[in-house]
Amino acid sequence: MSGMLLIPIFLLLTFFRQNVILTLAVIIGLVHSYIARNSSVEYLVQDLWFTLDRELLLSIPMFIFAGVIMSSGSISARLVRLMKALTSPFRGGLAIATILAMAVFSSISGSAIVTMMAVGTLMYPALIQSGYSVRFTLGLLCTGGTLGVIIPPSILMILYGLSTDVSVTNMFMAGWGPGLLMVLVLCVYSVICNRSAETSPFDIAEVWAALKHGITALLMPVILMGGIYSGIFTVTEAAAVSLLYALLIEVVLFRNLGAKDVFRLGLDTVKLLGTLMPLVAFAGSLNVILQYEGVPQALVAWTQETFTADWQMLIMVNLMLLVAGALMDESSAIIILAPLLAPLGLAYGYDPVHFAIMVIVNLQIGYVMPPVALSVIVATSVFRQTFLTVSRAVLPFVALMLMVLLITIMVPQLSLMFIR
Amino acid sequence: MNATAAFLRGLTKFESIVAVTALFISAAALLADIFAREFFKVGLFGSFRVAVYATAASALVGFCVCISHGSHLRISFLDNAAPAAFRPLVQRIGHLISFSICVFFAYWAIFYVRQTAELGETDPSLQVVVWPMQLFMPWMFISGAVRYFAYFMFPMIAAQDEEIVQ
Amino acid sequence: QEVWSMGSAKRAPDIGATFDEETVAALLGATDAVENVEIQFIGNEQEMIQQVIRGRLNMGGSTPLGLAAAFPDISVLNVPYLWDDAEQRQYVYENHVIPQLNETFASSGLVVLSVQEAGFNGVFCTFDCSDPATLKEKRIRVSASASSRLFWDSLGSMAIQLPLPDTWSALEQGLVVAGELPIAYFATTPAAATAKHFVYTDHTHSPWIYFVNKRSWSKLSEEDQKAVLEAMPGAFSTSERFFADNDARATSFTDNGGTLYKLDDAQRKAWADLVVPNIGKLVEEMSPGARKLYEAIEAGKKEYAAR
Ligand code: NA
Ligand code: NA
Repeated sequence: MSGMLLIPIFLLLTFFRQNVILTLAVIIGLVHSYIARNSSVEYLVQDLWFTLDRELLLSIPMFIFAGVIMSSGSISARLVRLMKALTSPFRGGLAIATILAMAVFSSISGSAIVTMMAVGTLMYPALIQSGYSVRFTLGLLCTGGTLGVIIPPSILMILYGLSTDVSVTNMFMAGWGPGLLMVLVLCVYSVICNRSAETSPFDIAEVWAALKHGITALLMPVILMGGIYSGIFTVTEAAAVSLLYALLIEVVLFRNLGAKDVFRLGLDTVKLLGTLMPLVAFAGSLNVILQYEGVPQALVAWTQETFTADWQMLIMVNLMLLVAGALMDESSAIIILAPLLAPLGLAYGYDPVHFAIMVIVNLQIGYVMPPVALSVIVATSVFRQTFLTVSRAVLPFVALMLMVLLITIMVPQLSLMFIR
Repeated sequence: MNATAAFLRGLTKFESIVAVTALFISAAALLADIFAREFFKVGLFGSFRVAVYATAASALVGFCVCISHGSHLRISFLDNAAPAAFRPLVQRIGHLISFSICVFFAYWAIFYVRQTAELGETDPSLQVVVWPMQLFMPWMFISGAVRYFAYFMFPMIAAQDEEIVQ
Repeated sequence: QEVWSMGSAKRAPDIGATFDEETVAALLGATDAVENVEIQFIGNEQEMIQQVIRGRLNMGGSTPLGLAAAFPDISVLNVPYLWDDAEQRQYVYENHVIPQLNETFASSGLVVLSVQEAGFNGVFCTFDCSDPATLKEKRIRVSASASSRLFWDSLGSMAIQLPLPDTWSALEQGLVVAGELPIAYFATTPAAATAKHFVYTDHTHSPWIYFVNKRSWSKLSEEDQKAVLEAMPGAFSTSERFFADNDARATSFTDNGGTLYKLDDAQRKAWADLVVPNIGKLVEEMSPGARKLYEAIEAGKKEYAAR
């Protein structure tokens, strides 16, 4: 069977409204049966199991659960209040408040979608009421959410570590540089776009009150990163600690959530898991086939023959990632591409962590890059706008993200400065 | 039809409880390890493995919960390719296709788990056989098949696509 | 003629990768039924072994630690301080262990091709831990094996079970301060940059077992099967080169600022005395199959001593 036949099969399944997991399952099943050598569906099931049977995956549900609890409880509201108090004197202050709140929330949550929803649902009406354009607001919220994947913790980094030998802890440290740069770029852009937005005088009493109100939220990333970097717990365990912290604050301390709410939020987490993890597992099987067929080695050999200069390789890799990010969901993309690309980075002498961060920053763009843009899809339904409106809104922000990507590539120190 | 719908509601409820419980077991296992060594100066052997199996269970059963909530990610650009009058039929055939895919993978999942059981594959940390944990794979596909077949028979009870995907 | 694939967790410059190639060459030289054997790197040994058992790969090689999920009984081979010397080990393996391995493997559809050297585990630390007392109550990384757990429990350490990839960063962040690995492997890991001290405790010995899927095996004619087995290098015939390579790797470790501790008999005894008294209890808790193998080993050791 020719691989080309998979395209009409994909279209047929899509026409008959199959979900992404079943579509992927059929396609990978066909690859196992007819394209891969010495394989069958039996081994597909085995790959599913061995992908799920890994300690490294454990942190993903914990980070998602913690994020879901905090966006439903009061923590995100407290964050927003604090950031508003701090930025109200500045032009574009509310936009800056949004970005900062998203940045802090990102350092708790590993997911772009959870970050966007946690802060976005609170800030969208506020921004619109304060006279920010719908277009700017949508672009800002979609893009700000993607901070969740570059500012640690990050599910994409965990998945990158799962399929390569790169240390997740080191990636977590390296993500701060490009993440904070992205925050800065977004803030500057917000000020430039909203020079005429209203401001209010600095209210020290409100800042103080908001700080007291919001300290629990601010402490969270400190506990999380402090615990990891000082050796109290591993990255995986940090995720469980963040869940515990979120539960303690929302259920015990503030009593915002009862047992029923926690179950409902657990179910929300399960619904995210049930769509994400089987996808990761099937993508993991495709990855095994690529390894068995020697594709990474062939790719390295071909690239080294075709591109002698490393900037040429970088352009090829980044274009490939941009296309993949636009066409695929980022979790599957990273599972499949990371083991193909990481050897390339090594072959051309790049630091594995810097190279990994480049891949992550690139795929971060995929969250807002149509047609398969998760942030845009979610924004469409959460903020009740058409796909086209949101897609157009994110375009200028994509340019900003490309700029950050370029700087991340050209300045390795930005990523590597925090690594011993 | 009502009986079927009621059955599916019960199934969803049961699976929701299983998946959420598994999630909490996973969190508890990870936290127990940290607390044991911080406060009691002992490492808990195998707690990571408990968490791994619980997470896998939660994710696999979660797949079924997602079907019943219509929260699976779906690529929708061909949704309007069929004339409006035929769309219900397309959807119905789609359920039949989903059913067939699930049955196919259920067969292979059962095949795989049975083989694991026969081979006596054991978890070295916990000293327990692995196959009961793997049962969540056939569960995922069988329960999926049951749902899709019910949707095919009674399109009225099919889950609507949830607004928020992933 | 078929093309086979062999799973391996060894990658050059690991000398195990060379042994893999030699095993393949020996097989190809002895039979015309196999045209070529492609060596497939698979980092997760348990997964690789399942692939061989289920026939996705035709053959593979691994240690008892990797094989523990499929054959829990053979973890006995990792019992600390099991052997007095190389000759004793060789004798008992050839006369008692390998026949029993063959029996055990057959139950899962595998055939033992040859048994080679995987060396000893030593202890790596972020400080000078040549005295076992320094590890008391310290946090160390323990693998999934019961033998490894027994070793650390006997030293009074706080054993924390971590996957290997987590171990490197856990050492860096100070979550754990020590662990155990063979020197040759340890020296190539990121851990060697953080844990600058390595003690040759030589407490746990591992064989390296090559095996082939029985269905693939039975496609060879009986003469070919016999020829292949005869062509295989003898048990532990790779030991000398293995340990020479160990020394070369150890040098790279010291060149990068690492310190090695070779133990004299008194020091070695200080370690062993803490562990050996607890081995009886470990064996008692083992499965019947494991106990049977352990008793066969003990009988073989007596037989060797009597010769
Ligand atoms: Na994050
Ligand atoms: Na995308």
